[in-house]
Amino acid sequence: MTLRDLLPAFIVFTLLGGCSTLGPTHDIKGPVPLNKTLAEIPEEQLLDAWIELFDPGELPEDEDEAMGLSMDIRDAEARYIPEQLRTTMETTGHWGAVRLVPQDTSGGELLVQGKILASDGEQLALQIKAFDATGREWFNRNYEEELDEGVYKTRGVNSLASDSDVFQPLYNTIANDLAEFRRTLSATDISTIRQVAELRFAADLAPDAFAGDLAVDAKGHYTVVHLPAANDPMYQRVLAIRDRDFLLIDTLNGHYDNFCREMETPYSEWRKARSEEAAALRKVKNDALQRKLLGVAAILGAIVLETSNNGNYSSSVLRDTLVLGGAYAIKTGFDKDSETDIHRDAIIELDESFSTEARPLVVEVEGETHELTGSAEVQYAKWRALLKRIYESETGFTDS
Amino acid sequence: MDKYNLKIYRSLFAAALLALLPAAAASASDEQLLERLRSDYAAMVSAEADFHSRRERGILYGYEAADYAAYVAGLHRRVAQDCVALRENGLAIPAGLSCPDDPAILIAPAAIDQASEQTATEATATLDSELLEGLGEFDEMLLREQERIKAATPQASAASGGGSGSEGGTAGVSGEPDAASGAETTYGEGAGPGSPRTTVSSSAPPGTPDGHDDDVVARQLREAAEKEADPELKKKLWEEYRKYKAGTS
Repeated sequence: MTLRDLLPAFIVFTLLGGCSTLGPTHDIKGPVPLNKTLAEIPEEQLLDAWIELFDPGELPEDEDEAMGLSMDIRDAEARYIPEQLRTTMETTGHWGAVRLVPQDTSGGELLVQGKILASDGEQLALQIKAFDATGREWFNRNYEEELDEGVYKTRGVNSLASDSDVFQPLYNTIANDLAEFRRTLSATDISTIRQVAELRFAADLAPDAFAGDLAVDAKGHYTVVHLPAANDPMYQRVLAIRDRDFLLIDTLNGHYDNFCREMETPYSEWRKARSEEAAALRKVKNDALQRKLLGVAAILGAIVLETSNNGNYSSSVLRDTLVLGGAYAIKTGFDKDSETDIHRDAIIELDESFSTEARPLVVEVEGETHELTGSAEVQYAKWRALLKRIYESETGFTDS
Repeated sequence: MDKYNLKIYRSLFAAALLALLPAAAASASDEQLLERLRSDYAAMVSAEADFHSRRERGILYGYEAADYAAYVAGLHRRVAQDCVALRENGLAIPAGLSCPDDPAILIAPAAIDQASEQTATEATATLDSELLEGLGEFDEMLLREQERIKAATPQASAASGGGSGSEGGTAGVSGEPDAASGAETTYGEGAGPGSPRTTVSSSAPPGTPDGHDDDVVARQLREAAEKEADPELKKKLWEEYRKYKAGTS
C-alpha cells in the first residue's frame, strides 16, 4: 500500500477528527431565526412541555480546558440554561405551559432532558433528549455553539443582563427542532399524548382504578386501552389532584425564576470576563510560541550559515546576529510565557469568585425545592391511600 | 271508742305502717329491678334486631343510622346498669336473660364506630370530604409559598435577559438527522437581539404591563388571556391581569 493509497483515508480521518466528538455538525453561521406560530393553536392541540433541570455533566479532563471551571458553576448552569430554553420555547406559541421540573418528575406531556457537555462562556455544548408521554422519543441530539471572538465586547457592558442570551442561536435551534417535530404529529397523536399523560398520572395515583386503562410494551411505549368516562368520580378526583400538581410545578418555577434572576448578572459578567481572559491567554501563548519558533529558526539559520561559511567576514557577522537575535527571541518567548500566569490566575480567581456567589444560590433553590417537593410527596402519599380507600368503598374490591 | 282513742289508734297504725315501709320498699325494688332488666333487655334485643334488619334492607342511613345506633348502644348500657344493680343487691340473673361479663365497661358511654356503621355511599362521602380538605390545605400551603416567593423576588431591574433573539456565532446540531421541517419561520415580535425575557403579546391591550416581573399568579393570568379565543372573555382576563398587577406593584 502506497502513501497515495492511504491519502483519501487520511483526509477523511483528519476531517472527522477535526469535527467535535459530537459527530457530524451542521454549522449555522450567524443568527438563527426562531420558529414561531403564525396562527394561534387551539388549546386542545397544545402540549405542555416540561424541561427537566439539566444534568451538569463532567468537567473536561484536560487541565487547560478545565481551568476556571467548577462543579459549583456547572450546578448553577444546570438550572440556569434550561430556564433560557424554557423562555425561548414559551415565546414561540407552539406550546401550552412550558415549565422547569426537577429531575425524574413524571406526568408531563412532553419531557425535555438535557446534559451539559461543555460550557465555558465561549462554547456551549448540550445533549438534548425529548420524549412524549406515550414514550415516543422525539430526538436525542447534541447541540454545540462556539461564540465568535469579541461577541461580548460588541454587546457592551450595559447589555449583559438585558439582552437575549449570547447562546440564543443554540436555544433557538433546539426550540425549532422541537417545534418541527411537533408539526409532524397529527391532531390524533396530540390528543393521545395528552390522554396518556393524564392516565399515567391517574395510574400512578390510583393504580387500582386506572392501571388497567393503559398498556405498556417492552420498549416502554404506552397505549390507551380504555378511557375513563369524563364524569367518572374517581377520575374527577385524580384530575383535581393533577391541578394541584400543576400548581406545585408553577410554584417551583417561582423559585427557579428567582434563582435565574439572581444568577443572571453575575453569570453574564463571569462569562464575559472569563471569555476575555481566555482570549488574552491564547494570544499571549501564541505570541510566546511564535517568538520561540522565530528564535529557533534564527539559530538554525546561524548553524546552516556556519556550516557553509567560507571565512567571509560578513557571513560571520550575520551568523552572530542570527544567534544573538534567535537567543533573544527565545528569551522573550519565555518571558511571554510568564505572562500567561497572570491570565491563568485571573481565570482561576474569576472562577472562585463566581463559585462563591453561585454556590449559596444553588443551595438555597435546592433547599426550597426539596422542602416543597418533600411536603408534596407526603401529601401525595396520603392522597394515594385515600383514593385507594375510596376505590374500595365504591367498589367493594380490596387487596385481600 | 271515744274520739281521742280513735286518734291514738290511727297514729299507732300510721307509725306501724311507716315502720314497715322500708322493708316493703326493699322488696318492691328487687322486683322492679328484675322487671326493669327484663323490659330493657327485651327493648335492646328488639331494637338491635330492627336496626340490623333496616341496615340490611338499606333503609337506614345517614344521621338516622347514627341516631339509631346511639339508641341501641344506650339500651346496652341500661341493661348493663340493671345487671350491676342486681348483682349489688345479691340477686341472680333470671333465666333467659344474659348480662355482659364485665358490664362496668359498657356503663361508661362508649364511642360507636361510626365508620363501620356507615353505608358505602356515606363512607365515600366522608372520604371525599377528607380529600377535599386535604386539597384545600395543599392549596393554602402553595399560596403561602407563592407569597413567600413573591416577597423574595429580586428587583425588576435585575430581571431580564433570555428572549428569543439571535446572536452572532456558530451554532451546530449533530446527531440524528432532522425531523420534518418546513414550519413557518419568523423573527416575529421580540425575536431579535435584545428582546426582553417576556415579550408583550400582540393581543395585550394598550397600557398592559409588559410582564417582565410577573409572579406565578400574574403569569398564569397572562397566559390565560393570551390563549383565550373568546374576545369578551379575553378582555375580562386582561382586566383581571391589570388589576392583579396594579394590586401587587
